[in-house]
Amino acid sequence: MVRKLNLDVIKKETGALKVLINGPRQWIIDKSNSPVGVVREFNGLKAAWLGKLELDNPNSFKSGLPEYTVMKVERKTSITFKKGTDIFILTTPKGETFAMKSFSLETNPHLTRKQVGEMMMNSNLPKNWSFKIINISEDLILKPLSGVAKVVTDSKQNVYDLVGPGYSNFTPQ
Amino acid sequence: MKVKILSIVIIPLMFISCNNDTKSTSSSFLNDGNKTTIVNSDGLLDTRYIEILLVGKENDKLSA
Repeated sequence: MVRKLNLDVIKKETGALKVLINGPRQWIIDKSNSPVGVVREFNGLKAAWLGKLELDNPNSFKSGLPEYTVMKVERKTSITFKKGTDIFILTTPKGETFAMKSFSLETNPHLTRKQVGEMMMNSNLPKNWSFKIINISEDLILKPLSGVAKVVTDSKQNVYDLVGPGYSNFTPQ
Repeated sequence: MKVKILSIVIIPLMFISCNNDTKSTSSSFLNDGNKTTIVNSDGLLDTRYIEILLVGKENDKLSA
């Protein structure tokens, strides 16, 4: 059904300037609680509105999400990683810490969570960016207090959310 | 021009119980090795998803 999505039709029906598909993707979180908006139908596929993404330069979205660029997303979603989980941490040159919440299945639909971790451990990152795997000893709960989350995407189109004060109950170290 | 992308997340069946504006829904995910399953009141769900991104100007009502 997803493959039947006609972006030209959706663009015409919604009045959007542009319509893009992001995915398929795989969640690696354990729990999500999301306020949702109105349910709409796209070529027979029903979907609920879930958030708003600020983008200063829409051209950076031509093919996939912009890599290693921190973006703001308006949403009030809470995300939980259960204790004992191996989580994937990306750290920016500024020292901001991001936790991976989903990985891309676009190039390999059979990719597993374990393979993603191994792939990123061996990945060439931009200067002063780092990646590590941490096993958390308590539940990690992400909820941006301001209602605006910060996200970043790596070169494999894996998506991470900012953690730390104002964004999560603790910062995985 | 200020442009916003209004992100719509599709999770198969997850939106079944969400038919009102701003209604909140909750799903529990069970991770079992490489197999991940979402569980909520509607039963077992897949955790693969796509997003449809609608790009519009500041005042477009693409979320309505």
